[in-house]
Amino acid sequence: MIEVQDLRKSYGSFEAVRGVSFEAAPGGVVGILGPNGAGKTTILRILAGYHGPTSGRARVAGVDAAENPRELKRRVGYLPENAPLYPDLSAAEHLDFVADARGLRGAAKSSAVRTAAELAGAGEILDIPAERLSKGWRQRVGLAMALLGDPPVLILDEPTAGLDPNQIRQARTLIRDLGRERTVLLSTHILGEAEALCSEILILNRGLLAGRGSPEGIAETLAVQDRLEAVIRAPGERVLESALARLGSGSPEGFQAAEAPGAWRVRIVCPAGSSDRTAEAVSDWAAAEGFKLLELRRDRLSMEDIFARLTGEGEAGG
Amino acid sequence: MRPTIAVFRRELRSALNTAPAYIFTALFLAVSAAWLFLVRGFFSRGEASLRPYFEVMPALLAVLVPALTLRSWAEEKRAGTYELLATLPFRPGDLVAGKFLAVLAVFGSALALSLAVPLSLARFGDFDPGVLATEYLGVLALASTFAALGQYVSARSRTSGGAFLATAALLLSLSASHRIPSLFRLPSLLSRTLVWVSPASHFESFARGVLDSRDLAYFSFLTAGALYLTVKSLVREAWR
Repeated sequence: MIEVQDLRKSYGSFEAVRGVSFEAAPGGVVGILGPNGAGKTTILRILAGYHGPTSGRARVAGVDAAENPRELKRRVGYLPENAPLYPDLSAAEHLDFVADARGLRGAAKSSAVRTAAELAGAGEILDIPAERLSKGWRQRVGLAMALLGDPPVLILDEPTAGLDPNQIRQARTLIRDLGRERTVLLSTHILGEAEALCSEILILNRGLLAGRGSPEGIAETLAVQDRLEAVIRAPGERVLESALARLGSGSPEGFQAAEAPGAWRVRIVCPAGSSDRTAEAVSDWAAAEGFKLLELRRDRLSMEDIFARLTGEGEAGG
Repeated sequence: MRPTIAVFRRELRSALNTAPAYIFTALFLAVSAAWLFLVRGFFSRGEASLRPYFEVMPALLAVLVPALTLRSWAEEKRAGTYELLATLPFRPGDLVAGKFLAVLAVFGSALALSLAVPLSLARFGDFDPGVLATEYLGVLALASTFAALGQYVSARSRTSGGAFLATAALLLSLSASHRIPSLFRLPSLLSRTLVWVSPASHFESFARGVLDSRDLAYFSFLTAGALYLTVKSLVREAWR
């Protein structure tokens, strides 16, 4: 349903997408996961026909984005990031406009508008101008516009950004439902969201695909390591350094002077799921070496760390 | 045609919902009437001619039409709604034509209201309806050209304010270019070019009630050219 081959997009000298290939079969929710600036929006914009690729191919529902952008747009329902709307127009006027653009008229038009508004849960605010709608409602209006006319492919850029927890739950249920009959491609920078929603996850970092797989597979890849951070009072740097070689579990990544005088902050990585065992080992080791353990905590890997690790950039050290 | 109508209707809706169209209409009617009655002293001239009324149009429209076109593209891009527009199954030409026609519709309504001036003066003189029709056609041709140029500048601008200033500057200098030869000694070819380039000099024959096909061709060519460049600029931007 979606085929992307060696897709590249540059803005001036900046390469936002640097050769990405993937395909998505009909049906199901595919998520592009990546930190801000990874190139997610650029890929979605090319697939929605907003930007032309610098090189490479993008095909959606059998239509090439560069060769026939208008036909492509007929087959894609697109929700841009932040759901931009005309402030002075109501939701009903927006849907009316999209229906006109999609060539619907008469009874087919009113039924398509009603269906889309109901599906997206925007039925009750149809007459309110967009400038008076909250972020959550605006997002629903945007989603209704994407759904209008029942396109076979939905492209949703950060569909749950800015929603409250309740709205996020509702939006996820809706997107999962939509993915049963259509192909949904969405972007997110939240790992949990991709896991909760998607049948397949593509991990994008700095314009390159850094990994892909099922949510379970990705979770495994991402959870290869846990990390501990200990603050230790030791008689000196040399002493600490040689003592670290005798640490029974986990491997020290390096240390640096901590705020407290005579104390060092030590980072220790260990295999996923073994952080409790390693924490015990660290505490025993400190006691055996005659050091004082001032602090010991599990340090969660940030999204940026995860992407850096996946792409082999800045392998956390020192 | 239907996609163009969809864009036209949306534009018109927004125009009716927001202030610029009303401000434009009020200023257009007030300034043109004030020019005729206060500045040119219609009643003190002892001559029932509307020539002075149309004389001011190039300068007046050069300042006012940019207020109608400034938002066309610059505002869409700033607000992000252009992404909506550009990902619906429209051709770039549908978008440009729809927006252009909506500006013309707003201008046309203001122009229709301005008919009150000749109608109310009809009892003071004998206005030739043919001449009047030519004069109004001229105003429409002038406004179309300005609206098309305004679209192009708006499509190339980052902000509405910038679009307004750039359009007004462009239209004012174009409209004043035929006066330059009377201020400086210039080679005759340059002088003739400056006169020919000015929309004001082509509008002059309309204002006298003379319909010249060369003037019509000038306005049509400029309008079509500016709209074509707008389409090109939108397409180029998507591939930039």
